[in-house]
Amino acid sequence: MLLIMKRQILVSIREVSNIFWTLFFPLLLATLFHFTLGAMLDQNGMEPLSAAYVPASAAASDGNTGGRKNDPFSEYLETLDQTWLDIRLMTEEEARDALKNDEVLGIFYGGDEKSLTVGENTVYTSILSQILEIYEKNEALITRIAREHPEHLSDAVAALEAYSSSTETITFDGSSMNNVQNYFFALIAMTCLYGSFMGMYNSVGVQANASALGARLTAGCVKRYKSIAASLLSSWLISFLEVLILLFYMDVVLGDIDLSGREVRILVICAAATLYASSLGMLIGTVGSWSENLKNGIVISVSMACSFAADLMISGVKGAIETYAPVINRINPGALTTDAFYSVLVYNDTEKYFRSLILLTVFGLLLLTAAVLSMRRMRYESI
Amino acid sequence: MSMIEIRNLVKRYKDTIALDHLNLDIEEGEIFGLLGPNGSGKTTVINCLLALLKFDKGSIRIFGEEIQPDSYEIKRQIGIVMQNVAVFNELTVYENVDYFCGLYVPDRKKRKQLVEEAITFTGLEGYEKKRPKKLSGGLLRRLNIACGIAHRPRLVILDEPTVAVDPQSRNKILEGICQMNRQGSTIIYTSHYMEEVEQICSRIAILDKGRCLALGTKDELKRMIKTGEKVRLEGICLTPVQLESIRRMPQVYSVVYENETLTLRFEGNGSHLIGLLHYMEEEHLTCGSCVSELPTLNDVFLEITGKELRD
Repeated sequence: MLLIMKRQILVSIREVSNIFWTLFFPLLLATLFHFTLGAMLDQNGMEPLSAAYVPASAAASDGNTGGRKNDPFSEYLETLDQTWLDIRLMTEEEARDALKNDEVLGIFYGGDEKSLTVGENTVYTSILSQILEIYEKNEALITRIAREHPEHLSDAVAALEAYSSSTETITFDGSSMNNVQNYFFALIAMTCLYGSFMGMYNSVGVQANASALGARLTAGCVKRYKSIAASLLSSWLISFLEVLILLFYMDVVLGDIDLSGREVRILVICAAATLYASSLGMLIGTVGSWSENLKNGIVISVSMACSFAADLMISGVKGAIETYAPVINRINPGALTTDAFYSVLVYNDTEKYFRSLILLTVFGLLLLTAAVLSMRRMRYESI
Repeated sequence: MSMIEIRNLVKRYKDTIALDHLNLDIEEGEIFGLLGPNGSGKTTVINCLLALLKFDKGSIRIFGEEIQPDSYEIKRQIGIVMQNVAVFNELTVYENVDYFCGLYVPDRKKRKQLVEEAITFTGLEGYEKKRPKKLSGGLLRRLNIACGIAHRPRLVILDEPTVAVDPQSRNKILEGICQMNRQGSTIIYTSHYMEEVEQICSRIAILDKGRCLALGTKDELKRMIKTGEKVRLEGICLTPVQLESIRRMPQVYSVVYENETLTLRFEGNGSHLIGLLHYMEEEHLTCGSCVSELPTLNDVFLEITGKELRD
């Protein structure tokens, strides 16, 4: 069995396209994410977003900036987290000069017609735009309540303040949640899911009706259970090692995730996720006597759909699924893996972690059982 | 007792009968040829022999035991060379042979020796570190054979091992098969190339539509048919009387004379060319060229089935 495993591992490692998609592609994406999103992960390591605020009085020609008193928009800006936002009170002329010299990313204008002027459209200026948008929505809401239900005004203001304070999620160990982490966790989940490729290739390689090599192996004197076990173990081992390499790269080299002290729980969840993926791939490899290309297409479709539903491409998909069809999140290995990562690295939520771990393991074993039952056949109707 | 006994083997693919009550006995030490056109059931027989295919009826005994998918001890003594090349493109020539040999021979030292012998035997020296993709079609087929025979099996099954192989490699492969047989292996060889089967096989079964149409040595098969020697004379001028005399010669059963070319077919064994040349001498006849052909397996197949072997 060791000989078969050794050969499977050697073949998988030497198959360039295989190793590219299952190892180098995730590493490449991790690097890309690091340079595009990484800075947003660590607010302490990021320069605060600078913006100028020009109150209505300063916008007038006299150049008087006045103060921030009795200016609700100015007070709102002050309430925002100063670690990532730096609002400077300026006259209009100063603000324009600052924007021109790239000292600020944009200029907020106060008064009745609040506005924002930015130098160029970037992800940072869109954050400034959102700040203004949220304020205007809240202002419209309060104005409407004051007009229609003045008796509830104080309740509405209190509710808005409470909402504002709840938008920052603080975990038990004090770390802040960041939506950008979605992408990193989903990337790890996708890499775990890519274990399905290894599972599919290896299962095709031991079935007489799926490949010439499978026929050759089945006709030989290797006991069936040995070839199946070697097939599963090698695909599981390779995909797990690939995830370990990715985790090491993201943790130690890029520093986008911090596993310190939580390595064991992360490794266990990755082992369960790669088991699920390998078993899924093996099962797909055993279904029908379709061509390897078609099975490859099915594996790609399934793994990408699961990754999409786990927020790899667009943030918020998993949340929407949780609202409308939570059962999908309970069976999607991608969602289960990202949930487990959140539970360990962000929330320290043991219950959710174990739920994800158990579901991944149970589904993995169920799929594996189905795959083994299908693969243990040795005589075929046609080859 | 025969080494392989196939009795009343029936295999159906839905409405198609691939094997129709096939009976075969293969003796130890022979090179047994399964000859037939594509789709005649040769590979199906092999897959049934290897317990890869379910069959509807009949039995197969190898080394005196019924073959089952888990007959690992029987399978251990069989070497298989599949019709489609079954090697790992990611492994080198040496690693491939070593891997397949390793499935049968766990002892590393013994295996090393066997692998080197198989590589020498198939003429793959100098290619040990090359990957299969770098090999020509002929070398790839030889690698396929090396992987199948490295463990020195008692029975070697070769399913069309020379398809798409250049003549040089083909000769090398055929020589190797005969050598394996001399070393003690029993060979089952399937092909639709009659020349190959005729060249190396001690007994031949002609298959068509899943049935064994004829079985015997090549001479026995040729004796089964009416067609004997075929003589073709080009550039010969014959009068109607001379043509009639030729037609009445002993054992002549077909005479065609067109454009100064005479084609004669004789019944039975032996050569009739000398008699014909004597007649020409008596009649002072000359010709541009003269070709005499003895019957081939293709003639046997043609007469039995009414169609060419490669139709």
